[in-house]
Amino acid sequence: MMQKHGQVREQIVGRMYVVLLLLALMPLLIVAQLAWIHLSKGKELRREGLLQARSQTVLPARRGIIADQAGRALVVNTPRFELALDPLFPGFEDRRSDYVTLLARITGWHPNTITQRIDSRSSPQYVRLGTVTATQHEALDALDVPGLILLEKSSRRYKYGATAAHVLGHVDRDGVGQAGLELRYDEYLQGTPGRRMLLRDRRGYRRVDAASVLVEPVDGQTLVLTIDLIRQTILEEELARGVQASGAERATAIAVDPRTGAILALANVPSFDPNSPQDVPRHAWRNSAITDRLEPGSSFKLVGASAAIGLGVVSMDRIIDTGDGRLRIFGRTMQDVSVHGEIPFRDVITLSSNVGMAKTARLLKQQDLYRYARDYGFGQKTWIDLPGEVAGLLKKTDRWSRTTLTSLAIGYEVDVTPLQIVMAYAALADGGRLRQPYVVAERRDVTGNVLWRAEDEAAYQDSVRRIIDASTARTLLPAFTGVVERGTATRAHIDGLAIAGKTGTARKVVNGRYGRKYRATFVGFYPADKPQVAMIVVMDEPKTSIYGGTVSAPVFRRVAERWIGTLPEIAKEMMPPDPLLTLVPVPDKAPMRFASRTVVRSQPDDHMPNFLGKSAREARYQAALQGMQVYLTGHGRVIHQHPAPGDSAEHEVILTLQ
Amino acid sequence: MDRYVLWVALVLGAIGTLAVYSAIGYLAQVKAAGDTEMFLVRHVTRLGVALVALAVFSMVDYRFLARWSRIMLLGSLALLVLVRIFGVTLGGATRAFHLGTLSVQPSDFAKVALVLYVGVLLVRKQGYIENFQRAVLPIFIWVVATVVLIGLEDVSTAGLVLVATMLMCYVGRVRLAHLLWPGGTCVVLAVLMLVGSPQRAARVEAYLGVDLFAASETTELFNDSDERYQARQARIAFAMGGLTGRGPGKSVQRDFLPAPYNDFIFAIVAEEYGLLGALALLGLFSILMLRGFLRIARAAPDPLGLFEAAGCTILISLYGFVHAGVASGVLPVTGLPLPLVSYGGTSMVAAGAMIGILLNISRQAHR
Repeated sequence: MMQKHGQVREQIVGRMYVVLLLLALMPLLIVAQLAWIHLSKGKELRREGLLQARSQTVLPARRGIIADQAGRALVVNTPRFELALDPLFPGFEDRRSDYVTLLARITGWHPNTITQRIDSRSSPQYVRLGTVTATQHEALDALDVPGLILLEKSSRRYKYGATAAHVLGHVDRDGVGQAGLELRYDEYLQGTPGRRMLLRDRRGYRRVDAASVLVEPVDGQTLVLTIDLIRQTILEEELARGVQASGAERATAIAVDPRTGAILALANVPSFDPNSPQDVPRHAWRNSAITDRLEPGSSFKLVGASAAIGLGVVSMDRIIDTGDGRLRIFGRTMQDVSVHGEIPFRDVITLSSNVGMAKTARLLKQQDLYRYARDYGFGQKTWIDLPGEVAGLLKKTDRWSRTTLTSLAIGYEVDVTPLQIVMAYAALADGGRLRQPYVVAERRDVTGNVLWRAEDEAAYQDSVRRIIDASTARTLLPAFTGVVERGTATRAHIDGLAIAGKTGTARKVVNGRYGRKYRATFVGFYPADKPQVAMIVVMDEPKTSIYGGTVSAPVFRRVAERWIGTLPEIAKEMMPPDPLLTLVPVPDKAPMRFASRTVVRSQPDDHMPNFLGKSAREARYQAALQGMQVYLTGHGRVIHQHPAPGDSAEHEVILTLQ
Repeated sequence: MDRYVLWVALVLGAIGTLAVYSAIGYLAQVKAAGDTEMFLVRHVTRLGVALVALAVFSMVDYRFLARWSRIMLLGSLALLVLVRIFGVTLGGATRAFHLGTLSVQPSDFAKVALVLYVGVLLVRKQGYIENFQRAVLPIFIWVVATVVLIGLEDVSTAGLVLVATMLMCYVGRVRLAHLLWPGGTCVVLAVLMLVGSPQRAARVEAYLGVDLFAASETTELFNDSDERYQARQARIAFAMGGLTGRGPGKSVQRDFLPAPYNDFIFAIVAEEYGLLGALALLGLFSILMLRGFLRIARAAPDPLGLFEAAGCTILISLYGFVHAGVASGVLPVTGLPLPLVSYGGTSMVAAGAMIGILLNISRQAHR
């Protein structure tokens, strides 16, 4: 019996082990399944899980503003109110006509328009009705229309309209840069949008949770330009006036500081208002200063002259026989505007003799002329910080024809941009050093901390290369000052201000042939002995005259004259010692300012000018010319001014607009 | 007394409290305006009751319980019938009485009583266990009666109890061939039940990924997408947990899983404490199973102790592993709680009682 009992027990325990093994299979199976989930499906499942549980709200970052060199905001953001509607929202359909009438009354739109928009919507639950004003927004906000959606968005406002339009560029509806600085510096202007991440359950309810994330947006950076609003305005006004006077189709002007490469002003005609870029044909968006490829004509003689003098092939006094102003080169005739006979090489430049230049060029090796042209930056981008720049075309010597040497010397068989020409003359002005042009002087964060400064950038501190040594530049200079004093551009002359420059009158290629259309250029710099400004004015297809000295030089002169007030060092030189006028340094008050600026002001008998009735832009402009800091409130025209007109002058003026 | 088993019970209770507190949020939001603490207090109270049950049953001699098991079984069967008549609706099927805040599921009592009574029957019939009519049939009659009554309300619990008692019978030397009888009957029954209930069929179809039955109006009504959804969401929970988990209280899937505090608590633990947490849970149940079989059952003072210990161990570990299997997608979706971990009333008390019985047997072990 005992033995049997033992057997029975053994059998029971044995069967228990079998059950144990069977049950133990399950956790093993589960572990295998878990491993499989993790190893083969983990990534996909995690993604799905995150997607279904996250409800992310994007917190938009404010786009950075763009300010001129004095800190005046040129581009700002303004709130825009958009009205939208969910017609399927319970309650709307029941009293639809009432609501439509109500909306129509507040917005001023026709009820039929609203009905039409609702009926022709593409999304079943959402229809954009349009943009409303702040006042309308308030009125609509107070309404109790079911399904009404009011969105506050931000749009870009270009405070001075078309001013500097080609530099600033424009943005699309979503605030993404499309052209100009808005495009080039989009990544900095955009900022980083923040996000609020909430958790969402299977019924779609959102809730805050330990795992919720809030990332604050980082607003876009502020761009401070090298361009000055006052100078830019003057340049644009004078360029437009020059276009009107000459009947030109298009025009471009660029001014640059030859000491740094900083662009002082840049303008094109036609221009456009970046607030509504769609209102003009697209070609008006074109920044001709950097995108036009043109044959420069006589202004290119700088290259040949630099090569000839720099290599010692000729001296400035060497007599060149320009004969009767005609020269046949391999079957082509080259012609001067007038007959000069035997003249020194200096006058070949001053009087712009094509024959003289061609004859000098024949003394040069092809390689040398090519090298100088290349060194001056032709055929390569200047790498200005604006989008869309073209490199132009400078043929390599192996592709030259028999006439290329002489043609190139007088500015044909080469494509250049206006910017390349002005940078070449800026190099001459700066003693032979070519610089890289730039428009953005600083990038700052919203609190005004400087994040980046062009001055600190090695590329801008140093020149790109030296083209000619300083003594060659000095040797060449009299030929170019002569152009303004007694040569082809006497209309650019200003008493008391030495200007060096060169005219250019180039036939335009139309449909592959040289036609009767011309491009008139004047490019120069001043003061000739200590240059602060290099400027080019290009008139495309002028009607009254074809000569750069006639249509472009006057624009140069008027701009230079009106700019004197903004360039204190030049103003000081030119001012006769007058007891009534002293120089007063204006202390900096605004945080966005650069270093202390000096402004000419008449001191003892000084009254506040009258700003009443002026627009914000006019008032700013006038105040800036007087060196006053302006504080504006409101929109529209000035209705109140403090201090009042005629009161003794202050450094600040507070204007109320309505 | 087997300290391992006691510790396993306490640790399971602790993990369960943490996980339920996290998982209950959604239910609290819907039912009690976000008063999660109320549910926590309720859960801890129930855990307390379960631990009291554990203590009490570890004191009471299992032989005494065995003597009363027949009455207990009959009583709980009567309760099951009553539930059928007066029960309140809970989760689609009528399963419970409400006694104050505690909802009482008689099936939880029935399964404990059945395990005890089958143990008693097995011991009593050891002498002629190979005789089908005298020994096996009476046991089966009790088992089938209980399983059918439970099955009317809750098929998965019924199935689980059936498997557990069959395994007990196997341990109790019932011949394999005899076991096939009720086994086969149950397979037939299961198929009948599937055909009879499109909801159940849909669950199985969702698990297998094939259409077993021709489409009809009812298939459309009980779309299997919900079942697939649950399985998918549970897998996401495992994936999100990674190795070390998202951290306590940081579960996201609790908002997507139905009854995360109960049927899918294993998935929630896996999400918050990662693969390590899931393995820990499986490990705890494995320890319980190993100790239950190898120490308590083997060292039981008499055959009755052995059968009762084996029965309790089988039922608890089967619950644990089936729950984990469902959550991880090894088994089709059913609503089974994880003993001592899930938020649930009487099931936790039943688990506590069974562990108490195990402890009592281990206290009387011969050395």
